[in-house]
Amino acid sequence: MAPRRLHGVIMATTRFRTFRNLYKDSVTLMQLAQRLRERDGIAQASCLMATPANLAQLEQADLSIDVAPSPNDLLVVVRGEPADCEAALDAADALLQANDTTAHSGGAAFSLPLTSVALGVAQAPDADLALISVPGDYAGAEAMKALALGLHVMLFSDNVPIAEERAIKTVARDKGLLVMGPDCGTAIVNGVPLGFANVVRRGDIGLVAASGTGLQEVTCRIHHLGGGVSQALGTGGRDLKEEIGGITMLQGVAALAADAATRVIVLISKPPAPDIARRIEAAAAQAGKPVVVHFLGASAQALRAPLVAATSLRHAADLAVALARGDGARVTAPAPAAADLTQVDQRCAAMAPTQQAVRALFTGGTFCYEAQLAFNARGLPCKSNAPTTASQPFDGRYDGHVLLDLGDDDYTRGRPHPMIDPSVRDALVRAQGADAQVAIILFDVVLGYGSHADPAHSLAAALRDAQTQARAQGRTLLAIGHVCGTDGDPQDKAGQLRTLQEAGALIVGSNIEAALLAAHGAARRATPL
Amino acid sequence: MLIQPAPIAAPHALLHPRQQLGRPQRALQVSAIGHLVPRRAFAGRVHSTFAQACNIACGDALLTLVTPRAGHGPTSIELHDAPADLRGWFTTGDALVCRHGIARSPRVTLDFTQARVWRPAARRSTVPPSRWHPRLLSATAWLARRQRERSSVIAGAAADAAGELTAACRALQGARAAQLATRLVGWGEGLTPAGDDFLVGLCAGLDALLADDPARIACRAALSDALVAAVSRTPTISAHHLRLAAGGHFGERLLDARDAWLSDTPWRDVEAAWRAACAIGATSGADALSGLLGALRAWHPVACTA
Repeated sequence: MAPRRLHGVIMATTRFRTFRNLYKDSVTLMQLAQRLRERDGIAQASCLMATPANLAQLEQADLSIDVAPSPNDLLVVVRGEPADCEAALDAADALLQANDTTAHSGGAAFSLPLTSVALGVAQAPDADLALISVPGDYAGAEAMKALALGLHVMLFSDNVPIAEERAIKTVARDKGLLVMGPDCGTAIVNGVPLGFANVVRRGDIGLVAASGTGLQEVTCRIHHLGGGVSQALGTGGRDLKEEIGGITMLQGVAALAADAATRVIVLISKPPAPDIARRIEAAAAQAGKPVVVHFLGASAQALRAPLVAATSLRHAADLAVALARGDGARVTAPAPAAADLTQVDQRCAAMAPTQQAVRALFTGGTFCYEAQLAFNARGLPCKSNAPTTASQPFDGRYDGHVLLDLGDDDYTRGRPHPMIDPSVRDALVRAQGADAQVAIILFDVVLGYGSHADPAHSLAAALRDAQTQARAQGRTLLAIGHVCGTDGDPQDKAGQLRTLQEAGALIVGSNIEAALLAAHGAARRATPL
Repeated sequence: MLIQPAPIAAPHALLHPRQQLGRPQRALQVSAIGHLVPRRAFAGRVHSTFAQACNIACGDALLTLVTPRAGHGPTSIELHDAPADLRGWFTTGDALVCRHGIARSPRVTLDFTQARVWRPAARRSTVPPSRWHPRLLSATAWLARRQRERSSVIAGAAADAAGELTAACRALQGARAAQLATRLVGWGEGLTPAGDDFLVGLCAGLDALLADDPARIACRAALSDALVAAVSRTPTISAHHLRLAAGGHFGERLLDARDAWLSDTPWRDVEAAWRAACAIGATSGADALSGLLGALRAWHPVACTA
């Protein structure tokens, strides 16, 4: 462009100004750039959001700048004589700050003022817990800072080295503080849900769990039975390994033992290291209140009062509520209802001979684990990406019974967890319709804070599509699932159940019932009628 | 969708937003909410305010308070009898906490209890393949006329990249499409860069034409992955729309425009829907329709591999 009013091209320079978190529409910005270009001494002008794509365009237009602004910054760049550039930038500033540059545009954005835990504490001096969710490389340092400020820590982040976890937890224990995590996604502290948690009644049952969805299942069941939760503490999945020594679970047991509002304690975990299990059981035995222990898949062993062993997540909740009511611990392990077994039998009887396999597509890791245990117990061979000791590792081939934890890293790399974005699971559900082996689709739906606003909607559509495709090929599928949630959750549990039932799914009250029904169906299909 | 409704980080501040003294409270009825909006409980802060819209940051997602004229969206909250200028009632940084269907900010109370939920209906094309080509020509000419009035980089510097992206989708080259989509993210001057608007429209079109074709589904998934991975390259508001598009969620006006084109309705009805879609933003609506048109060209029935 030949600048008509440019005094001297040789003197031309590039100047810019950034406006943080200021939003204007494209027409406003183009009009502003045009007005700047019309000013004396200005050869070029551009007004745009400072995105990498736009910065590359500026570079091509010989308007490159030597700073790295954020995509939320509005950038005004001018090229011309130095004094005129400054005047043009001042003019742009005035025009942009005016509320009515155009009638339909103009907005200012909130810039989060809190950039550290310390600033947060300064603003909220009563705060006593820091929730940390940053990449694992930085999480340990942030946790240490929070502990130094006297805060308990919930560490949502994963990928924290185990040595760092031990160091953090040791420091916390020495300070009398609790570290929930790393990789702790669920907790309810003083009635405040943290991360993925459900809306449950407050009450007298305290929980400590190394399992997020396990904690959700048990708290929801407690709520469903009319009981309530005093505290639900997460430990992170590695807390009960030898390297960590169960530091958080031991602290949790001690805290709940001392908590007057807690009458019954529930402990949930995958099988701990044997020595750690002994230490935890010894600590629990000293709690002075009944303690329900459910270490999923651990070999059955007699526990002495006040410890009570549960056989499933649902059983743990049933026992806890009974104990809290003083009804004793004579609660039998849950089994599928006769009517549901009959329905499974009838649906399986109508299947094609090729249909032998169960495909379980879970969003909750503990649900996947619990379902595998049900299959293992019946001697049904199965594969999983998160296998129990009796299951085979999933090799990527959908052959036979396959039980998948879709919240595992394999399926969440670069995308949200399936509880938040169910599209990966929906696609896999649809794919089962084309597989002549598939007899039963087993699934979970997890409601509550943090989860998708309407997970049943897309899942029901996927189930219908799978059924339609199977029917077109002369087959019929059986979908069995359960919804982990409460009537207080944001997603409207009754509506979610209705949506899935209308899609033809058999919905039962707990994961273990769904898994037992699926295993029953698998056994039926393995023994043709 | 990344809506995080729980009051997770600072319960003291979020559960008890400070009232601003000297300003009256105003009670507003919410007439409708998008299907991704938590109905009963959420907590957020005002991210940005405009005359006719106000964005609430809720975790990684934005909920948008809008007037009835704006049309529904998956994360929009439609206010009945809204103030003429929302900037007088919402200030950036204000906490907005919803419990049991009642949301409170320092100056406004929002009642969600009577809100109906807007949820887009799933539709498939009813246009006979023989009529696709004339309809494409009509839509292209219509949009070109519109772009002569208000142009963006999609009709200029980014046109080649947009065209190549359409071609990659037609060829079902997911990796190539992902690469080109990443290049378009954040390209354009304004609040929602034109490249992003194009991508949203493209996704909306592609979603209607998947036809259960595994190759198309894989291509679309690659595009979604690319968008999610690139959201840090664009302003927050636009990043939200890209995330929604990656998950297959779109606004009512765009869906109406798409569905009108795909249904066997008279062209004047299609024009009416496209005019309404074009009214979004300065060029955003037109840029999204460009993307939609790209999808319609890419996955024309004769190109279907199913």
